[in-house]
Amino acid sequence: MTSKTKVLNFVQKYTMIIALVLVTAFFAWRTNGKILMPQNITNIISQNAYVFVLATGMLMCILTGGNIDLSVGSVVCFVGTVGAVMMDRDLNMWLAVLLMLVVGLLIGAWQAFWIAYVKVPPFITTLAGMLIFRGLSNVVLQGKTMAVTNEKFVQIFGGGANCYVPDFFGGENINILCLVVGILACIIYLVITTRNQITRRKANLESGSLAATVIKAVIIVAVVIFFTLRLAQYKGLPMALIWVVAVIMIYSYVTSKTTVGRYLYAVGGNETATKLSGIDTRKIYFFAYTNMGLLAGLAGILTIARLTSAQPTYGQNYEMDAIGSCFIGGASAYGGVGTVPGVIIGALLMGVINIGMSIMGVDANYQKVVKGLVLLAAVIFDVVSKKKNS
Amino acid sequence: MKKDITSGAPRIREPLNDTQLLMTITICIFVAMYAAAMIFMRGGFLKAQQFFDLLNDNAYLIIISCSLTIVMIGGGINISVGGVISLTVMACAMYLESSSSTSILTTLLLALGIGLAFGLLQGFLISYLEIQPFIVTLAGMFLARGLTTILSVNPVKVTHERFLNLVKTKVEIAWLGYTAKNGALIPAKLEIGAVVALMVVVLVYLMLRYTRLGRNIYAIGGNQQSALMLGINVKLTRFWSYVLSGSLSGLAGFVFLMHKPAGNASVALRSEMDAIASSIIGGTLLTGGVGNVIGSFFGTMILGTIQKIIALSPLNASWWQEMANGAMLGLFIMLQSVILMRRHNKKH
Amino acid sequence: MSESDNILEMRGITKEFPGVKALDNVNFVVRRGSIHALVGENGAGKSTLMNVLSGLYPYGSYTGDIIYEGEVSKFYKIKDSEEKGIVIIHQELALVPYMTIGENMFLGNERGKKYAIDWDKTHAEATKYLKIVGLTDSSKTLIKDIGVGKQQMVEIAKALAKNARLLILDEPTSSLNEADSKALLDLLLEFKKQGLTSIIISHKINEVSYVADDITIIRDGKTIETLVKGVDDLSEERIIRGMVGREIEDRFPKRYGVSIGEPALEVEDWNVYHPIYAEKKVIDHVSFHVNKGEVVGFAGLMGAGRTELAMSIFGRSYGRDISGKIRIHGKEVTLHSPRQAIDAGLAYVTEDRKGSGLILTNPITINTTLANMKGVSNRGVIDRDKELSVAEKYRQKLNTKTPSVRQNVGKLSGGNQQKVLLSKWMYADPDILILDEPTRGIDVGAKYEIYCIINDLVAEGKSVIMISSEMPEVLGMCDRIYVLAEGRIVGEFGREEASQEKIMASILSVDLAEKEKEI
Repeated sequence: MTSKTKVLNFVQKYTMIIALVLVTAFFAWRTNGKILMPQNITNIISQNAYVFVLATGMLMCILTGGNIDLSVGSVVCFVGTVGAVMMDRDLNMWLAVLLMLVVGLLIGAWQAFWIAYVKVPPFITTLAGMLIFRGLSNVVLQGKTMAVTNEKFVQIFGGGANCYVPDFFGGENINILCLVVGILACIIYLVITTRNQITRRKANLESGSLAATVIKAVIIVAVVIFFTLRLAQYKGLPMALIWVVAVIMIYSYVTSKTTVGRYLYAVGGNETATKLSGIDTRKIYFFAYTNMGLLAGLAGILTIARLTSAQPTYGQNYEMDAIGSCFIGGASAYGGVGTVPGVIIGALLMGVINIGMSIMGVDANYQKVVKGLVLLAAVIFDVVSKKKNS
Repeated sequence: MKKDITSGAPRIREPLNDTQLLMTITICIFVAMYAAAMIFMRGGFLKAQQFFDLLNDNAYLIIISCSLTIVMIGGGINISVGGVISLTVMACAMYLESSSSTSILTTLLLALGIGLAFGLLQGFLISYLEIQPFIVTLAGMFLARGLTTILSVNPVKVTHERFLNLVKTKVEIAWLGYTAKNGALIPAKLEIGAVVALMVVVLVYLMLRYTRLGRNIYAIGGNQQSALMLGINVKLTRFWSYVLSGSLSGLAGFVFLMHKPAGNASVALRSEMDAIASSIIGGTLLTGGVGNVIGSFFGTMILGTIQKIIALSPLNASWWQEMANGAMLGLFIMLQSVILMRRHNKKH
Repeated sequence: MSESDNILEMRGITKEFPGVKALDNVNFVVRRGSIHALVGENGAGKSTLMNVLSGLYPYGSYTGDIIYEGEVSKFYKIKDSEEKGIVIIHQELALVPYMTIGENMFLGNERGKKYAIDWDKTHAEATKYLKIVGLTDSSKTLIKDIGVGKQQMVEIAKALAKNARLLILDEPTSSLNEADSKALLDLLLEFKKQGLTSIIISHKINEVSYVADDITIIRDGKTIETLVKGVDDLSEERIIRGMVGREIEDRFPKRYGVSIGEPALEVEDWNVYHPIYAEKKVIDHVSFHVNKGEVVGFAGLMGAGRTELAMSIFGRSYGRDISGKIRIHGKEVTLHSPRQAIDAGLAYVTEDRKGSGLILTNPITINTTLANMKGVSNRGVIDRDKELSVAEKYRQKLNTKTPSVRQNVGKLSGGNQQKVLLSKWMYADPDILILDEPTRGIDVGAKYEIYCIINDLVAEGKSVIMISSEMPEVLGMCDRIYVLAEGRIVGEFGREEASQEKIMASILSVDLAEKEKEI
């Protein structure tokens, strides 16, 4: 392999990471480094928590064959509405949270039923869902805003001024808990990687070059440490981050390590082959869309906590953010291709652009234009570089 | 499943194929719904003007439904139409306001130009760079909506005299009118926009049925591989379908401005979804290759009628409208699949 | 032979793709009014050559000359060659399912003015050309409603409507049954009498020797030789030797020391109805059995119901209102889903590798374990290392040629894809394997390897049901042969008594009976 093709391959494999680095560097330059300030790093996470959660769920749907769920924005709104109403009537907070998740799950299951068992195209089912649940939110809220006053709820789900994990270690200027968590995460990551390498080498299986693995590990550790250091300098771990990380970890695991995850990819790759291999593909569709409902429920909780209210206009265009993140993150619109880490990169890219432009004082309207252009540029770059290779 | 088994079955004579059947159902539902409204809602529905208002209010939607039907038959999708309308409306409104001597013709050309530009750009990216239509037009939607607000965040009201005269110009049909309480005859009025919309439906229908481009659009949506092997220029055909779709969106923007002469950032919000719903209700398949603009026209009329019924009822229109549209879409899809399934079962 | 006797001459054609020389100085001469066969193994370059000729690969993307009707031609697109009367009919039919026959026939070649299609004229002309190819269907019938055989005829009618003077057919009979194939070949002979020149690309050597005047053999992108009827020996052995470049002494490997045991699978009184046309019976009172260590063949024409029989047994993957009994190792079972069938020890290796067998965008590893995820996972969690070693084991066992088991299956050749498909089902560890057209579309060398794998399987005590349309293969490989026609079993032959004639006779007797009934 010549060095030129090597570079090309590298660029292709890590296109979106490189783009993320470049975009961040650009904003760091234009904002005189403000975007890397602790508070802004925190904001990238807390303000975009819903994107991470929804994009992860959307990925499952896209994997099954490029199918999308247009209803998520409306479901987020409806779940939020239901939650706000319940808490307004002084329902126990945890019970309310549970019920909100159940509502999300049921909506997901309802749509999933039509998609999986009646074979109504997802685009149509969820388009109908989008209209219906937006309307229902309006009806329930009577077109008005309802405040969420339960402080505990707001704090736990990442809203309000004090939505950070308390520091048990009592650090003064720096949040020690945050640092400890960061270091622990690095250690766990290193141990797992090393163990994998050793067993693979022992079993004489293909394991990739050692240098590449080491470089990758070093970069990941550096990024994690940088992040936690920044967060520690501000107010510590935002609660929203906890939820996002939990979702990411669970779904990374599900997609890469479990049979259900495998079946999602298989259905997207070749549905008939999957069916004939003894897998009930209807269940896989059902899983993907029910799960989307559940995650939309969680996103609904995060949204009303952050905004401390419910409004019939919440969640508009959330589906577009989620879909955009997936495609920027390398998911194929034909299904069968895409990873959770890729989608996270996509969502981060969107988040960095949002925050970066806000800091630069760019008008919110220009932000929409830039978002559209970035989405397009990402996809064009992806398509063109892939074409050159083949 | 082997194909030759299905064909081995003896066939009974079919008066209608699936596409035509679905379209007929759509038309029947519209007629039934309108008749029901006449009987139960009485009042306005008994006047011909009510029907004309349906056309007047939904003229832009009819045009973008046609625009969507074209790309959907070709196996694509275009969700930027609403955004293009808002951009066109804003740009034209500002242009008209820039000086009282601006010509209406150049304004129309501006509208068509904006639509055409979006069509060309999107068509190029989709056909020649082979990027997913959904993604390209999603980005197009962001772009158009963003540009609209960049032009002006505040609403821009058109005060251009000649344009307002054009807005007021209506086709009057006296014999469909009614006599008001004071004895004066009030003729039924059709706006120019509605006439344009009807012309678009007819022209697109003829284009799809009687031109090579039309045939080719059906072919690339029905079986792209075959179309390629037939020597059809698949890329060019797809490109044209988006150019047409984009230009029609620009035209729809102009028609919108003729109906409500003011630019506003939130104009035609989500109208792309209504247009997609109209096309689907009219019998267009999302998978491509099947569809008809006449069906889409009636699909739009069904949604419009629901809107009218809700508006005349004591319900809060903005809340119930979306729900009703969603429910209608769901209902219709179910109806479609049930009818097609029964039909296939009967064939033997 | 004077120059004007040749309608087409391709001289020194070389076509390169990045990294591959698909055609290397190919010379190809076609006599006016002849039927010229182009044969060669998969990937030999036949289709590439025809794509060069049709202009799908435009002038300038290859080197060499095309001399058509005595003049050097430069085709930049398909339309250019079609204008000159060169019409190619591809293996995958170029028809749009939701359009009518008439619309399809004149797609890209519309009747009437450019911006005003004349539908009356279109259908009138369509009917005229349909009559020439012997079809009686209305030109307003939708393509999706007629069978593959008729679709192929529509393709030919379409070509005629373009005023074809040189007709090129790429594997025209690959999805046709023998009766339809024969009709098509006879039609070509009929056209020859009227002066039409055709080029036919085919895998089926018996058909080639039946119809062709000249045979050009291509191997590895080079022309090897052209055989002429009446001058050279056109026997099947002779052609195969040219194609593979070596004698194949024995096309079927011998099986040694396999003892046939107790019945492994017994199917009794099996009935299946069509999934859409509910009153059409696809499988009609079929009973059969397969013993341990036995290879049982299912012969029959396309559409006889063999695939439908197999799939309906395999967890009701096909059909409705299924009735009948299945016994596996003497125990009666009911199989409602592929999962239950797999758990009961069945495997169905599909005839449609790409459409319903493999996930082309996924690597060999994932494809290999898909039918038996339990084997590489624990409570739903996959052991990736184990998965890798399983894939590696089967790669070695079946001698799959690939740089790595992480390679995407889509990048492999047909024969290697078939091996991956077999790996998948072998890893599911079934007792009874149903192989549906296991050697379709793969070259002679790979076929031999597949036969060896089948022998290994029965040597391990498994049972194999082999569905194949290639009669010599069924006769060469199977211990016992069932003949299926019109969804019924119409014959059963042991290895010794079976012959091509007997099988055909039992199929035809059903056809005759059917005909009499109709009268």
